[in-house]
Amino acid sequence: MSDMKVLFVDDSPTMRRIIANSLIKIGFSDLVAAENGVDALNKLKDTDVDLIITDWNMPEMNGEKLVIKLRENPRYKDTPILVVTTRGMQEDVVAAVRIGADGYMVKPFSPEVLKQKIKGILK
Amino acid sequence: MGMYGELGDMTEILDEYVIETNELIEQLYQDLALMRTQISDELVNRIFRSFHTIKGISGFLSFDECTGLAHASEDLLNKIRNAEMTPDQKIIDVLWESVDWFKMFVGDVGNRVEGAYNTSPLKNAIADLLQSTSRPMLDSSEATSAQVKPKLSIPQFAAGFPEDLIDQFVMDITHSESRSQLGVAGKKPSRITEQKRLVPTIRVEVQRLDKLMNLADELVLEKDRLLQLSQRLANDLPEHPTAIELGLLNTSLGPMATAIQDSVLQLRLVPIATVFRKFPRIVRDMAREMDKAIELVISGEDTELDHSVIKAIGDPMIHLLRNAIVHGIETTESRRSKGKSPRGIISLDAYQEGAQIVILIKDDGAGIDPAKILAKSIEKGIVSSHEASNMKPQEIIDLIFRPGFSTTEKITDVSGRGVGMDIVNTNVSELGGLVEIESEINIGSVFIIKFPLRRNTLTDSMKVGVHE
Repeated sequence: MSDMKVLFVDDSPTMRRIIANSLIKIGFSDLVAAENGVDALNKLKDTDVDLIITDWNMPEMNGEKLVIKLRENPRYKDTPILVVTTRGMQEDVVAAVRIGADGYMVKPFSPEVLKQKIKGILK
Repeated sequence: MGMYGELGDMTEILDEYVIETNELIEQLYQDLALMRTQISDELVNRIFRSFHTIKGISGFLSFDECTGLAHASEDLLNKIRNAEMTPDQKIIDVLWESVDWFKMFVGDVGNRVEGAYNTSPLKNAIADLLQSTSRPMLDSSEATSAQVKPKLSIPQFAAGFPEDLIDQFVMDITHSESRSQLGVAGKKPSRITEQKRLVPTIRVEVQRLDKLMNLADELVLEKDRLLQLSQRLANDLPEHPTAIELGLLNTSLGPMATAIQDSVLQLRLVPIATVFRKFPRIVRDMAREMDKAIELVISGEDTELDHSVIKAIGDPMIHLLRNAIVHGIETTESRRSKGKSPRGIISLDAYQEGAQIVILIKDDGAGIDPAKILAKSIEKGIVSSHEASNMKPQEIIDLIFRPGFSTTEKITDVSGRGVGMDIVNTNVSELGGLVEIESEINIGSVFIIKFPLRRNTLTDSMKVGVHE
């Protein structure tokens, strides 16, 4: 698991730091950060990743559009995607799973929960 | 602290949190002010997202009061987004107060007292609004004719508040004192003591101001011609009553025309805070990348400059900051060996001095070594060794502004686009300003940007003409 390359997408610099620190804490080291869907797709042009973690509500291109784009792309149609949402956004979770996300995580989460969620979708 | 507390570096995350939340707060003030006069899906979404991000990141730090209040504000925005509510005065006021609360909270976050921040009154006010507004609020005259459309649009919003729009006071807040106290490398912000300035303002398109300014400039020119003509007339017909009366008219018309021109120029002034507030993050990120300890000290952010200067001054300033971080401030070890404090200080200041606005970018770094500059300039063929032999130290330092000098700025993540100092100089002079350097080895460097307070209106209006 620890040698996997992970792309995480969030418009908040604080969230990116929290996610990066959490991923490092649970043993990942090959990390790519993106600020929104457009940025993520750009980064994916140059690099292949094994797991994508994305926020849902973002400017430019939100998580929903990003997941749809990824699933349309043969290169990423099977890449595990974990969607990050907040409490009280159940509709988002339903939408995410419907368009092809593999799992979701509700903010705030501990590194341990992140680890379990990742394990869950990698099975 | 919170469920994230098991991770090591909380200071870093807290710093990031403070900077980002402050940025979101500024954005919210701007957007809410805008919402008083106009509304669009994009605007409502952006406001929603700002509250949403505050909620998300506060959750990780277990700032429960923040999470709760952001959540309640989000609920209001959701209703507006779904056109179940129209953002009237009351709603915007409550949202505004929420933002005030966040500002207070974030200002205190370094030395906050658990349980000292009561959000109940605000949360109750929001709950009342959510309860009371189950239908869109259109005034009675409109209610009969206007249909309630599912999506909000500007005309629909305006239809609800014709009076409000005319009498509207947009509260415009420009302040970034909390940021100015935020050190780059982990210094906590101190409590905000300054009162918010609530000044009634209206928003005007820049184009309209430009037009008004061109007219005022022309008025002043024509006034001067009239003055010359009346003086000629007075010479030719000194006793003629019309010549005397015309002379008198000129003494009152002249100052009036100049006063109009001055007032128009003042309309275009914007505080430099809008530029400065981007810098703490930039400096901190660059410092981290260069592995240097740097503190940014900002002052004078209330100093006002013409909006055209404000719009264009950001890039050259970022370049000078980058220069100070890459070339100015030494590494921690190097500073220690020189007996300096390991943390470098970069200070930004802006103030008015006579008829000029001065912006200072100062570092306490290595300073510029004239000998090195000279050697490099000769090597690059910028000056001949013959010319060089007669140059004073200050003239030598100024060589860094010559085209072709700054080729050492490699294109790295930090130093970026590899733009030379000559570009900074060109950009600033295009805006009617100039750049000066004062530097002393091992003491540091100061880059001084000066703009005339009164712009050269003739060339400026010509420029505006070309752009249009």
